[in-house]
Amino acid sequence: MPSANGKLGTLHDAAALAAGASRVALGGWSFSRRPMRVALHWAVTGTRFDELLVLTGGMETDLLVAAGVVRRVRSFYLGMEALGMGPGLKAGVEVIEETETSLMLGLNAAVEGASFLPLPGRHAAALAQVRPDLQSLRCPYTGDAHLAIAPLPVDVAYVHAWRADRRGNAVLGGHKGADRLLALAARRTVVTCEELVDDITAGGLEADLTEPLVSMVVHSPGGARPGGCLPGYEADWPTLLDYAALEREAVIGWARRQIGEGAR
Amino acid sequence: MMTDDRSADVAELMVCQMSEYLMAAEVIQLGLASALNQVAALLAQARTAGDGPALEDPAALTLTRAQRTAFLSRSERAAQIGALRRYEAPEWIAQMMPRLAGRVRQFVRPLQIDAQGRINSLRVADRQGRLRRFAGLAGLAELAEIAQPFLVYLPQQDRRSFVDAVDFVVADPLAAHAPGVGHVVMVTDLAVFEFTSTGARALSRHPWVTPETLRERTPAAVAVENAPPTPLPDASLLRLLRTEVDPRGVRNIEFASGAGRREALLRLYVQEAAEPLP
Repeated sequence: MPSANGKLGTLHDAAALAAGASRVALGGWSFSRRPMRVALHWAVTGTRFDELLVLTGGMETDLLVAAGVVRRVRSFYLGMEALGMGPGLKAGVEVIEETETSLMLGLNAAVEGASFLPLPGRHAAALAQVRPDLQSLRCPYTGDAHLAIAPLPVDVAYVHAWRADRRGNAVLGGHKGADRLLALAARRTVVTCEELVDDITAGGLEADLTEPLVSMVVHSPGGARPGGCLPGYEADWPTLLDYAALEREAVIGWARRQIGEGAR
Repeated sequence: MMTDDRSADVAELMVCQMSEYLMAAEVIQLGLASALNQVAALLAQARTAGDGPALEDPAALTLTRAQRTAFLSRSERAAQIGALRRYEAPEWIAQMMPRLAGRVRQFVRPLQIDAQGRINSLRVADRQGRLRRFAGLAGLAELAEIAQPFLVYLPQQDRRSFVDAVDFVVADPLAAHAPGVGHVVMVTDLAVFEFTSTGARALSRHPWVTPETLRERTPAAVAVENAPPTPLPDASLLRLLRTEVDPRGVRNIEFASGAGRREALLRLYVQEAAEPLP
């Protein structure tokens, strides 16, 4: 539970919120600001949850698939970009396919309390083929065909920020991703941060995430490694390449070593 | 002063050709995992001396007009140089992209493209006929509607990537427009192609490619006969590419595979790490 010191909590407490959850979202984008320390913790402690929601699923997703943390992944892009596929995604996983737009609509429907939001049929031909669970409807004004995108409420969202205060106000740094939308759609949001500060507005900064959206704050320097967290550090490609070349059976041992190195 | 008088290689010919199709855009989207598109976009920007297209760079989701060199491992920091704005993903995807119809261009690299110009980035059958999943649906259906022409590149054109019919249709850029309006252009390591509602044809064949090779690696429904040679870039354009836009050779990554690719990525990482970036 958060301590009396604002919403400050431990990584262990924060990671435990995901155990058994229906849907967990991870913020960041590409190799930027992924809550890797949390993902590594899940991998080595054997934490399990049903669905991982990511916009672009990269190394963090690959790791969670390889370690058996998640049953299925919801995303519109999976892969480590120029580095190819890692051991988890190479082995395969159940994927709930989304398009960029359908994922945004699902999250927005959750935020707005809508029972669905319409996706124009002209964008939806491929999605309709791979997602027979999606219902179609006619627009009452134009008669055009749409897919009805159901809301995607998130049990817990994890966001890694450059800087945060104890109340949960956070400056993301680097790529903003869709982290604000994830926090809005989530019942609880955990912010892990590089720098824990008393005054988030120092230097004229404004918070990207504000305290009413955040349930817990964890001070986690280096918490996005081996990915990057600007302005502090950039992605460590040699380590990412080492990961991509692993056999699936070696992933948990690799995760243990990463946590050990991060602790030193 | 040393001069580099090598003639263009395949990567250089491709990015120079690709930049031709990007210069007329108002906005170029760089796309994830797309080294050749990035270099071609930066070259298009350099060729227009900064007065041409603005760049949307997904590495930091910025819009920028800054002229810079190409980066791969440090692309997020590079994307913030001269950023006019850092967007949130929902803002760019749901609000900005729909407003860019006819004004945005982006070269995409699909798993497969077929003789009808249809794109597959999701599933391909292996030799046993089992479907293997790859990158995903992304935003290709939306891009097919707003990008005109819809631009495609293939660093290795063969009968697995350029096929009679794709294994799964993720986007159909010709069908996304009224009959006679849709237009797809593809630049490969062998040739430049166009696809319209009246059919597909090679616009040009690269100088080192024989007609027999082109025919062999191209679906029968695509006309390749009598394609003129692709013009080679002149010395000044090559110099711009080699010295100002891509001095570290980001463009070559998409042609490397296996252990050679890993070595090339690590070499590029070391070279990029030595560069000062704000």
